[in-house]
Parts: sequence; structure tokens; C-alpha cells
Amino acid sequence: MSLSNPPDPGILLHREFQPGSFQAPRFLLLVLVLTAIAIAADQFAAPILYSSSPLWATATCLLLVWQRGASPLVSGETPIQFRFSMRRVAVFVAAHVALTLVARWLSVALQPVAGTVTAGGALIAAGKLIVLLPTIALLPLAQWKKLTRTYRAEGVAALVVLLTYFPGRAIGTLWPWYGQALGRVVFTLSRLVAPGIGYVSNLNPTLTGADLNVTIILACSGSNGLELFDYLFGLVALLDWNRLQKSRALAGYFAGIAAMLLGNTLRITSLVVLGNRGFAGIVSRYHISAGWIFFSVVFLIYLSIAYPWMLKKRADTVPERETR
Amino acid sequence: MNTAFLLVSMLAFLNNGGGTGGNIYGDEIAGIGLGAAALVGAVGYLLMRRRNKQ
Repeated sequence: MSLSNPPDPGILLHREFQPGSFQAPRFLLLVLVLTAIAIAADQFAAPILYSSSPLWATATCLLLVWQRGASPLVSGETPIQFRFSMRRVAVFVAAHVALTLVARWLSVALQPVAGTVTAGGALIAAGKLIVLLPTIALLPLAQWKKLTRTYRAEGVAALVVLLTYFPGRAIGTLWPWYGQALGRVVFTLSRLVAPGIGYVSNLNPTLTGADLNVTIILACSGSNGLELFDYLFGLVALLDWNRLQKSRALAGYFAGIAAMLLGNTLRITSLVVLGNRGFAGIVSRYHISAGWIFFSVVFLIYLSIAYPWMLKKRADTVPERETR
Repeated sequence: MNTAFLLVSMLAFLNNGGGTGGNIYGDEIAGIGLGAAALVGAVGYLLMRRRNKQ
């Protein structure tokens, strides 16, 4: 089977936004689709391999490569062409079958630890990412190097999704320390406005007050806000991929994570203060709904600052080849 | 277009609880909260995007 894709460097001229196109290297799209199918099959055959991160990362890379469309080439390079080898596909399939068999064989021993917030559970979670490795066999190393240079931004975006998009485990693991830090900061801030606040150090720290005691549990860690931010930032990246300055988008993503965590701290502080300033009933009744409203507001404030900054200037929206 | 999108989304939210006999459980409330917040954020982003395109 032969798949080639001479990208048309003129396709991006005079266009700010491409709604995605199959002008993207078809063999790369096929590699990513095959990877997603193989990972899903692995997880179906060996449930202990289940993790949504590799699937989301592959889907992200696929969507962004598709969204980018025909890529302007790195200066001086020949068009990306590749003959898809059935032998490589066979190696890829064999590697996935072997991986599945090993995972099924180990699943009885690993099951008690898998999914737990322990070092062993974290190791098993990291081990699940091995399902991405057989994809290397699909292309020669030289081809991967060329693709890495050309599609570095899409690769980094996929890596960010793979490692940070589902922060529940990370926050759960760090909770004994992060929970204390969060409790101390909330205590310090709320004491500035409501002097009678006390602090009880515990795995789930409690802020005591005259009218309302607030216990900060894992669900208050801000992981919900991060989840919301991840989905919305993903939407921004997908729709505006060709308009974004990639380095700024990466910095903007981590700045957004920090903004949501800071927003979560202010949210809990406001609950403690308001709860001890005559609004204990309202805080008890509506704190969950108020949290979502708060996170939406934080996101919109963040976006109003970061979005114009992350966008390319008009002069930069012409293809890279012309600007070099 | 945006108005129609908002109306359809609101109808979807008003039609909650159908699968649980009128009761809403904690995880459903969290799901509704995430959905509503995501909707607000997405609409805000689309408006901001339109303004930045002009």
C-alpha cells in the first residue's frame, strides 16, 4: 500500500482558520487512527490496561494534525512521502497482541493495587502508557524524526493531554501535602477578613468559625475546576489551532491551570468568610452550584486576558515558509 | 445561530432527572454543574473569538 502526501504550501495563504482538512499527511492520520483503534482493542481485551489518557492524547494529536491541514514544510526539506509497509503493520499488531497477553497474565496480581492512590497504583497507571509504544514500529526512525520536526506543536499538545489532562490521580496522590497547603493559605486569607477563624490540621483540614466550620475534602481540591478548564482550553486549541502562537498557547495553558487553582483557593476563602459573616445557610445550601459559577467566571476572566495574547498577530498568520 | 444553540442547550438542561424518576443524585448535580459551566465558558469563548476576528 502506498500513501504519499505532497503538502501544498500555498493552501494556507489568505486563510486565518482552516476547518480541518485531509490535506494533512494521510499516512500520519492513518497511523494515529490505527493507534487509537489498537489502544481501544487492548483495553477491551485486557481491562487492566484501561486509561483514557492515551486515547485522548491520540485523539488530540489526530484532531490537531487534521486541523492544521497541509503543513508548510521545514525549509529545504523534501515533501513528506512514505510507503506504508505491511511488514511494519504486522509488527505493530503483534506487539499489541503480546502486550495484551502479558497484561492479562499479570492482571490477577496487579488488580488489587490498580486504581489505588498508592505508589504501586501510580506505577501501574504509568505502565499503562506502554500501549503507545508499538506505534513507533509503524514508521522508520528517519520518518519519525522528520514528523517530529514538522509536527512538534501537535506532539507537545498530545503530550500535555497525556500527562496533565486528567489531574484527579495527581491531586489525589499529592492531597496529603496539597490539602495542607491549601488549608493554610485559605486560613491565612480568611483570617484577614474574618479574625475569629481557627485551623484544625488534618488530612482534610478544617477551618473553624463562630457560625460555620468548613472542612476541605479532596473534592474541594479544584480538580473539578481543572477539568472544566481542560475541556474549554481544548475547545479553544481545536478551533483556533492555526491562529495560536504555539509557545504562548503552551505557557497560557499552564498559566490557566495556575489561575484555576488560585481561583479555587479564593472560592473556598469566600465560603469561609461569607459563612461566618451571616450567610452560613446560603453557603451550606448553594456552595456546589456557586463553585461552578465561580469557575466559569475565573475561566472567562482568564480567557479575556490570555486569548488575545495567545493569538498570532495578523502579519504572522501567513505560512511559516513566507516569514522565514 | 448562537441564540438557537442556547435555547437547545437550555431545553436539554431543563429535561434533567428523566432517567432517575425525578430524583437527582450528587454525581448528577456535579455533571449538570460541569455541563452548565462548560456551556457558559464555551459561549463566552465563541463571543470572544468573534470579537477578535473582526
